[in-house]
Amino acid sequence: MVLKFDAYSTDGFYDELFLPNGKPRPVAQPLVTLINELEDGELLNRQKAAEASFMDNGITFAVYGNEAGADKIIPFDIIPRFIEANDWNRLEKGLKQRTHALNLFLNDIYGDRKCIRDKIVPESMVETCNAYLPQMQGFVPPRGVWAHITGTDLVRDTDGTFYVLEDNMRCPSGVSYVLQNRQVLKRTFPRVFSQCSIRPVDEYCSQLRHALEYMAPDAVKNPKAVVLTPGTYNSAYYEHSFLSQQMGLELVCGNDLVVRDKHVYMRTTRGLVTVDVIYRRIDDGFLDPLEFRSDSAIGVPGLMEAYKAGNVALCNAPGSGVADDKAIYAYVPQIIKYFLNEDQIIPNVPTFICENPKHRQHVLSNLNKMVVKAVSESGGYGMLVGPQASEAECEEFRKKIEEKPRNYIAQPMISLSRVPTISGDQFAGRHVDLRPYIIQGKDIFVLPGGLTRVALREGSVVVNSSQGGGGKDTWVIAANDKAPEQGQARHWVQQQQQQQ
Amino acid sequence: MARYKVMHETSYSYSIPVLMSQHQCHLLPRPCDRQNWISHEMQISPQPVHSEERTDLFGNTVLSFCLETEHRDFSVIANGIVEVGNQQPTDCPTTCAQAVLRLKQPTCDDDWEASFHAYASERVNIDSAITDYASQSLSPDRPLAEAAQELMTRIFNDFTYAPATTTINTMPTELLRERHGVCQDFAHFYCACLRSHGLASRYVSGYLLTHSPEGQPKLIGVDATHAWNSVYLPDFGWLELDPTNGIVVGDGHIVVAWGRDFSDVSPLKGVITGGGPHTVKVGVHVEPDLS
Repeated sequence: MVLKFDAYSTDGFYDELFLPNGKPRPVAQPLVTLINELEDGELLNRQKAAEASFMDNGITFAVYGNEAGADKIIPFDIIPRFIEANDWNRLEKGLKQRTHALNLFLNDIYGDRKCIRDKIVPESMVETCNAYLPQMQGFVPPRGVWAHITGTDLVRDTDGTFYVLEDNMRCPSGVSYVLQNRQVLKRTFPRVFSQCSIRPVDEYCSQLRHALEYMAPDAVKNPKAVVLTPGTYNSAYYEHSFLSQQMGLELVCGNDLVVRDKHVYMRTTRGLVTVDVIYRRIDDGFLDPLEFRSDSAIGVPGLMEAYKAGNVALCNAPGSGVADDKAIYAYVPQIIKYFLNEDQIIPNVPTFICENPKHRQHVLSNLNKMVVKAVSESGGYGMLVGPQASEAECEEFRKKIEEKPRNYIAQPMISLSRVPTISGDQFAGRHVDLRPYIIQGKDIFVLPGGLTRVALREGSVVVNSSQGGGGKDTWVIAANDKAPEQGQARHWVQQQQQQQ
Repeated sequence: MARYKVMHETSYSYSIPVLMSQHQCHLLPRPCDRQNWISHEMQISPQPVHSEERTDLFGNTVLSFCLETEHRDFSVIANGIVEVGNQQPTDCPTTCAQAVLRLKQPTCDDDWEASFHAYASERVNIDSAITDYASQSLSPDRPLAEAAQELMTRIFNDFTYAPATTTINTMPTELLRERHGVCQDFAHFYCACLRSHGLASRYVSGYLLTHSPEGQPKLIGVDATHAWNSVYLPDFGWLELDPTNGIVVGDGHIVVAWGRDFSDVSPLKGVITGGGPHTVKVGVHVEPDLS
């Protein structure tokens, strides 16, 4: 079995490791050289070792509706994706700009609504958005921050241009895999790693903890923050436990918390302890059965009263989802211009809003060329990939769009960039996207890189882990003024010398 | 102005003790143009540990409280004296099309506030059948005040008031198929009809006079809380209509709260620890105050 790059072809797609002429990009040269020099079978051994370490460490993800054992490891491919320093600098600026503007937008929507009065965003788009919470109207969250943690999905087209595909402002998951993928890849390619000057990611948890504590009520000196999880059956439970452990915060379920006189307390073996900040990984609708869904058994009754009284901070703030609605997305360029008087740094994918009759007409007559998405779904559910769909599937979406146009948007199909991926006994180009994570506390922090998700089926462009997508490590190359990731602990270096 | 004594009692009996509970209620009266509350008091048993009054987005008064004493019986009694007047007569010439335009392109704060009630909400859904049903009344060039009253009369004639045939979760689209329900369903359906055409309608919750004045028919909804609607007429205000009884609201309708639908104004809700199977009794009594 030979795994070499000799026969690898970019097939006309933008490839993150190779140039169109088949030569490796300069940043990827050390890795390509190493792989071509490895003994036969060695690369596959490393791939298996990486998979085994995920399983052994219980780094899992539950796929709903899948009977064959709830917990699975996310398929992982050891070939990393590279991002050059210049590209990253621009992305980082663009992500900060977008996060800042969307936060101002949320403050405005739940406040004076100037952007509606000035006709930047139609009122109907906000009122009919499922994530809009009238209960929050007139409320200003602690420090004026709504989306403390954002995951913005980026894709790269054939010519190498990065686009924002969608925003995720309601508790995006996946960052724990970024941190774990890095740990595993450091062990998989230790020498290449030290040659490439890669930006570190391990700052994330301390940044997040600082941001959370910054949201605590004014008078609190030593704020108590906790991570609120729906429980072990949630698809991202592993992440909840990992983040709370890394940050040194308690992991709690709804029934561990109690509200008394508009303060939130945690039940402990030493009695009630005041809680000041909650990093909640529960959807808005389930947070408080008194205020939202009365059938929620995972929430905390009275939590919203405590929140509105300013006695506890919730991260992300309830109602933030308005800003990641896929139809509101289409207005983000105007939102950035309006609030910041700047042009968008990372462009949007052109978007057709089915609510608009002209757009709808165009979408319906070009269904087989478009990607159609339900506006309030995530995780790759409720989606039609026109060019790959059967006639029956197209027909089904045609009906859905005609019945509830507000619920759908459509975008032209983007030829996502590819990264070589191990497929059986050879390398094959597979489509990827990128989800960087942005933390908004006192300042805005962008984690260098993010989760590279890969569509493992040949030709597929759906990368969501709930749809069988996999993960890759993302290597952001350090500019000369940025500190690279430090080399591994000594015994790893020694082991590497024995191996190679 | 008519003056009434209002008593609203809700009591729960639990089969096993409740250790702790939290409740939220819309039982306190709200101020509005045609009514004044002279006095009002709440009796809650057992005695709440914490209670707090606030005003919600719609201007309603919300009372939240927490019970921490173990109990098998829980009751809330709201008592009050209120003065209620009739609505202003409407000669508002605004057409349906003009009203829709004003909600789409608001020109004053009242328009902005009203436009909030012009979209589907949690318990008010809309489909093409509802839009069609409403179209027969809401033609664009017709004065809205007249069209809205005709729509109300049609609903009163086409639908049957039938207690216990629907649940708290019945949606307007179902009501149109089944054609029978209670005041909550009629009011939700009325909202859906107006909103399907881009017009604004509120869900209003309140009480009716228990015994009608002599010579007038007994109305539906007198022994419990009642629900009706109001319709936004630009430059005029809100016109209150009661589709369950097919009448324009008069001084026998006492307003407690309004919102987009029942979820915004639920009279009493709560989360309890313990309790098991339970029974609920609700009684509303409204009589002329002669003191």
